Amino acid sequence: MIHLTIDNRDIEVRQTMTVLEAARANGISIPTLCYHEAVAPYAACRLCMVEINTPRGGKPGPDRPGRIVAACAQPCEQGLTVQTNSPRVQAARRVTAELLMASGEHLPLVQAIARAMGAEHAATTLPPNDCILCGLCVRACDELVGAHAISLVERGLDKKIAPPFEITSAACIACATCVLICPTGAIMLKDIAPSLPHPQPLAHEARGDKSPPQPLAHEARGVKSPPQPLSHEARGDKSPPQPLSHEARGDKSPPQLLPYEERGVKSPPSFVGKGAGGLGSHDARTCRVCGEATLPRVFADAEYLLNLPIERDQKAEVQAL
Amino acid sequence: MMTARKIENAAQLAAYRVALQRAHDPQQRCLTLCGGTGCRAYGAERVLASAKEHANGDVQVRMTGCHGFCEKGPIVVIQPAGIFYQRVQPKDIDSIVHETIAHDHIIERLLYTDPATGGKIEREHDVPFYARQTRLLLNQNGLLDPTNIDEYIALGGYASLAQALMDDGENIIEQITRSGLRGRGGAGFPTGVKWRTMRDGIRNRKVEIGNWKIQPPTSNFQFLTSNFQPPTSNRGYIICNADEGDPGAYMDRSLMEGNPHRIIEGMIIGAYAVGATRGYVYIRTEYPLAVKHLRGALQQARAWGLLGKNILGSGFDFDIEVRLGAGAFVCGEETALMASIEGRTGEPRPRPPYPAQRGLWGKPTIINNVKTWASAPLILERGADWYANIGTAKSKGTMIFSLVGKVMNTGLVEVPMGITLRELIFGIGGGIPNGKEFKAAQIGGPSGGCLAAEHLDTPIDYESLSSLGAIVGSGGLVVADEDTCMVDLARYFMNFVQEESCGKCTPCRVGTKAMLDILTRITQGRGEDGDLERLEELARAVKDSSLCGLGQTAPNPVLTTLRYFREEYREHIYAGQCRARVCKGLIRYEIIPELCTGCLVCLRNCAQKAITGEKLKPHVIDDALCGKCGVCQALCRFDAVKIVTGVPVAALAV
Ligand SMILES: Cc1cc2nc3c(=O)[nH]c(=O)nc-3n(C[C@H](O)[C@H](O)[C@H](O)COP(=O)(O)O)c2cc1C
Ligand code: SF4
Ligand code: FES
Repeated sequence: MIHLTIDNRDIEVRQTMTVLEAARANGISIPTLCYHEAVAPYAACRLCMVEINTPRGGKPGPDRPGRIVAACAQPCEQGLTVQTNSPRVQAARRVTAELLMASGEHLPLVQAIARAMGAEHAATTLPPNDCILCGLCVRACDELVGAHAISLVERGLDKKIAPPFEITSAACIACATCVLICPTGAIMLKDIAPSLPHPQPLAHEARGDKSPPQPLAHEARGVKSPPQPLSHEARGDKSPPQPLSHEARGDKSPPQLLPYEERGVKSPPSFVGKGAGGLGSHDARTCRVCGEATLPRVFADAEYLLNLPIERDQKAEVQAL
Repeated sequence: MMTARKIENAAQLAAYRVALQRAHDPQQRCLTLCGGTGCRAYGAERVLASAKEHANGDVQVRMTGCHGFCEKGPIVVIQPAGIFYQRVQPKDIDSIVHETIAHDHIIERLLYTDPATGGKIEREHDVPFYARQTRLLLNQNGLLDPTNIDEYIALGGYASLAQALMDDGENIIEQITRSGLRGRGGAGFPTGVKWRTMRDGIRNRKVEIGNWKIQPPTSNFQFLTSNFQPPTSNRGYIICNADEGDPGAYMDRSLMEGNPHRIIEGMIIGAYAVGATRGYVYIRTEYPLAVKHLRGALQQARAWGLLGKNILGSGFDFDIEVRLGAGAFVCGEETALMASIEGRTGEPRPRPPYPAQRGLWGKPTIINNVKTWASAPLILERGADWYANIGTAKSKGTMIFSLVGKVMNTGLVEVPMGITLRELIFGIGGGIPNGKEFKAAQIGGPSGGCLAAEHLDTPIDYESLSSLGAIVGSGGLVVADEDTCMVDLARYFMNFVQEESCGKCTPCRVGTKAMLDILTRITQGRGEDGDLERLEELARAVKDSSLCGLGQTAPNPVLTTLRYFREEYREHIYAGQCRARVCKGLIRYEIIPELCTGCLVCLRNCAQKAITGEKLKPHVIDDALCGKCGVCQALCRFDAVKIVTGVPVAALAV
């Protein structure tokens, strides 16, 4: 255990915590945008800035200004002094909010941030963009799903989220984790995986069938009628004509992992609305692709992943899946 | 070159060196030709071809690395006398061989003329440009052929390595620490401390890393780059940062092209001291010659037994690999550079953990600049105390500047830390051409700051520059005279960082654009009241809250010009005036009727058809049509076209 001071309060925390975690665990709030407890800190939005003084340099004072750092990625350290709301921090956050407004003034989330930070005007004007480049989708895809299907490409103002070469990626399993974690609703499954089948409620579920989804080849092909005389069977061919796309990739299980089932949990836990980023609500119960009110099962799984209480070993477990 | 054979121990290396030195006749006439990129651009390769044709048995012809005085290329030096010929053309070779080499007859027209005295100078070391320098790192550039390891060994090369391998790593780090060497990549972090952190980490595993949820070391596009498996190195890595991206800086390039073995030797010493087993040189693709020389040097070092398994019989294994960068400025930042080597997007990540704690593929990693590595053999050879005697109290050794802009002598200059700007610009640089006034020096590239005439006598070292708002940086030094507009200069550098921002964090990605917008507006004559305060507010916020050094230093040119040249900004905004007559939105071209002869030349050549007038009658420029290209002024033989500034322009009137 180590001791540090946040906003003049003495706080005791585990050494492995970040300043943000330490603050939140003690009821001190620090605004964040690109942070999500389910994935590694990225420290890109720069809203969580705090002013720190390390014990090596002596007591902070007017002659010894601290360093401004991102709380989400700053490790706690014995004797650290943290100010979460100093004038410099406030100025930095307000300007950051003004900068976010440059391309995101139309987004409710950015508007909420701007209000909270006292930002009134956009610092400059850029083409409106729903994406605020928080990188949550990329990290979720890397760390939670393990698919590495999307990435941040280009540089500077041209930076954007895209699959490799900006063409449909074979690595995308259409699990919609990115869609769920996006705090602004910028990312649509159809943008990333336009040609992949959108995960509809599985047919056997619609039929009230509890058994694991069998490969219903004719349905995957979009054929509505029952399989009756399948041509390959007529030919004496036993195997179904085409492996499903996930099988072709060597994926044994149906479209995504169901980690809670492995742990013996029967029903998917309900979405508690923590949402991504903490600020602003994103209506995860509505599918952004088809607009349906309830989520198909794959979506629910992604949702479950995002709401896991994060302990190191559990994360590794999820990653291993 | 002698036949390749593995050198098995230090004694063999020493014997090999003696044999090489014996084989070399010190009186042998040698025509050395600069093969640096600057001289090559001036046609050095054609000069070389001609030299090879003319050379007879008595003359050796050798192409060396960059001499630094690139402006005067192609440069030829006749050794051992050191006769310095500049701007040599292929046709001159015949006389050089038959007069100078055969009969010691000096060819006047090829000599360098000292602009201060008008006198001709014969010897290289008498040229004021060189005479006032302290060339510790660049000294061998003009002497040896970088493609031949034997020449480096003959000059004492790899002796420091042999000595180091017999020593304990702890002692080597102690010497580096005592020498006071600080990183030459910009930030000036004490090299010894960095090495110690890594050594301790590898030895005692006591580095406090914490439970870092850093990005998993995987490629985003793993399936495309599946051959990018992290090499098995169970200890740690060292990296030579050769990404040099500052506009106008080329000292690292010049060292790699001219003396690659010194860098390699430094890296092996460093690896041995900290206990790393594998090294990388991260170099930009835009440096083809440096890549070629470095790769060749690595190959030779391996063949000679100086790199690879069991180096010089010491039992120490180490090898170096060259990795090419695609030319993003941000990939010079250490964490972005490592991401790039790992095959991920070149984006910085927050530190801690520092690379020396957790770097490439999660292993402790030392990353140093080219010049930092090249200094290591020198310190071991001549001693830490000798090195610590050069420079100032806290900044030791020499620094290479690339001196460019409005100065007589441009090129690479190596000087001790603590030299004044005045000595650098007026002593070595020969002052400002065309009798103009010195106005400012932009030091440290886009991350640096602009210093004014009042700072000419400040010693240049890490501390004094940072107290003035500039940095030593990579050593870029751009001199500005009265014809340079400081607002425009700030805009130029802001444009550079805005384009090079990686875009990861909000303050740098959008903040640089916001600042650029304001600067652009001011240079276009559309500045507004409050712009300067707004610029300062943005600059402070971007400096405070950016993730990496690029964003944190990006506002420096703006902040320093605002601090030292605020009056010029105010003139732009409130008086519609650009005193350097550079900003097109604030100048008008006018024809002085008394001087105009009505010759029609300007009228005929104006692309915008903005000039009206009749033959033999004074012409008039219509400012509304004028594109400010300046053709009329350039063509007027009667000096009748003048640039006017200061009268409120249209935008101001609104
Ligand atoms: C935007 C940016 C660009 C950089 N470019 C370079 C570079 O081209 N070469 C270099 O040696 N260091 C560069 N650095 C500094 C490196 O991050 C790092 O500090 C340096 O390589 C450490 O080596 P040193 O201790 O020898 O200076 C850059 C830093 C930043 C923030
Ligand atoms: S400061 Fe600029 S270059 Fe550095 S991480 Fe942020 S956006 Fe990228
Ligand atoms: S930088 Fe910490 S939450 Fe975005």
